Amino acid sequence: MSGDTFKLIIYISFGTILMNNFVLTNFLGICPFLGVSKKLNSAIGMGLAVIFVMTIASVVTSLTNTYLLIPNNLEYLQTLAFILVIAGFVQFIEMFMKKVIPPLYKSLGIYLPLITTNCAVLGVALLSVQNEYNLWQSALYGASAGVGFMLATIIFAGIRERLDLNDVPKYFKGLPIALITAAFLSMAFTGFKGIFG
Amino acid sequence: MLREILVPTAILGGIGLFFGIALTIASKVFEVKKNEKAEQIRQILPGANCGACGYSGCDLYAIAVAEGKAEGNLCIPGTNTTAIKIGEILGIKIDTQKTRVMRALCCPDVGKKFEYSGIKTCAAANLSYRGENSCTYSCLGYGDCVAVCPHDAIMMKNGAPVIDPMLCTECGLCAKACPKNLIQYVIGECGYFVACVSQDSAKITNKNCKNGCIACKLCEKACEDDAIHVVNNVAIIDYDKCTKCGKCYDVCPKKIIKKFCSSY
Repeated sequence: MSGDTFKLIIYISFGTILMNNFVLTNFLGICPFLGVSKKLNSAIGMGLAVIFVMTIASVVTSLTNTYLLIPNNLEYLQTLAFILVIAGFVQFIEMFMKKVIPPLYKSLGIYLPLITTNCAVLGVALLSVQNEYNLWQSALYGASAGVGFMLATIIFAGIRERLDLNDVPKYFKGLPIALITAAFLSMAFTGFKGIFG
Repeated sequence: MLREILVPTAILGGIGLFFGIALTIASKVFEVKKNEKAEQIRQILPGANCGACGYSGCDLYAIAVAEGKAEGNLCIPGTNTTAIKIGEILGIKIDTQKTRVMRALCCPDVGKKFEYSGIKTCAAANLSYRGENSCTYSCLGYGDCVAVCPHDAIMMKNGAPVIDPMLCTECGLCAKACPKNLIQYVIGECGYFVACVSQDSAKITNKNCKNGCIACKLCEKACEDDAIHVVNNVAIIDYDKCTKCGKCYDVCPKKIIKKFCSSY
């Protein structure tokens, strides 16, 4: 492995997990971020499902883009085609898992349909095309984006579990205080910017 | 011009068609057979997902019953009608449960050992020296039972929970949530229960709470059916023997033996 490839791997993975975190810097996937972060367990389940779906989505969309859309000059159809391909593929994986690996289906199953057409998943596909990544690079990009999502959700779930036990002023209870906390978390993550100069 | 429309349509349509056909084939190949009886039983169950049967949700309980791993009479919100219907589906006779009512066994009139200013739940308060009340058996009053009740059947009144029998489905979640084990089943449609669980000696109980059982045994002497006994400094009614004559109720000097009825 040459030095350049290694540098690129580090750049894509750490850059996506910390500096350009999907949730906290790009503001994609806010809905599951707020929705599933009430309990740590469901945050972990959702995080794993997101990593899984994002990796697969990056791979299939990268293939669709290179072998189907670009040769026919159809780049303007990316959004439409990607939604179709991701949704179909995740459905297929869900059926496959239900039959072949039931325990995995039980732990991930409920979260899979929730994120199939989430903006973060589509965002991974579109951004990796925009950054002109090839197949393995976009797979890495997708996986790192998923890990970044999981990291943000787990940190946030931990904070929210403690938040529940505190005496929050009446009108800040629930979602308002959660949004303020998310803003602080987002500010904290901007501190990672500039690591690579 | 025509080409610019036809090619994208064909390609997108092709992707759609491909996934449509692939998913149809996959749904046949990867089909997971469902238990028909489980489906039928699930239709009968109330669908409250209260977990009183011991399974996490009605779906799992239905599967367990259909596979013979669980008794058919565990669904408490569904009452005996559900148990009988499940019996019809499975073709077996299921023992129906006795009528029972949930009651909170404490009417505290207690002083405080200290001021508790921590997290306002019973579970947390109980962790610090078993709560702030002078009687360590008494209701803490922070309403963990109220919070957990899925049917809004519990209200806090004078520092102790009051359960509305019309709304209560006897799922027992409040009983599990109470750190003092104060909410218990009392058997029968109407009858009497002892509203104190303090096992402290009479002297300490009397000092701590005006509504405590002082183990005077007057009820034990008054009972003609040998149904009420003082065990560990507190009177306990044996519902198998109790004839609901009400003599203990009349004789109790502390008036802590109370009437109950499932209809009010």
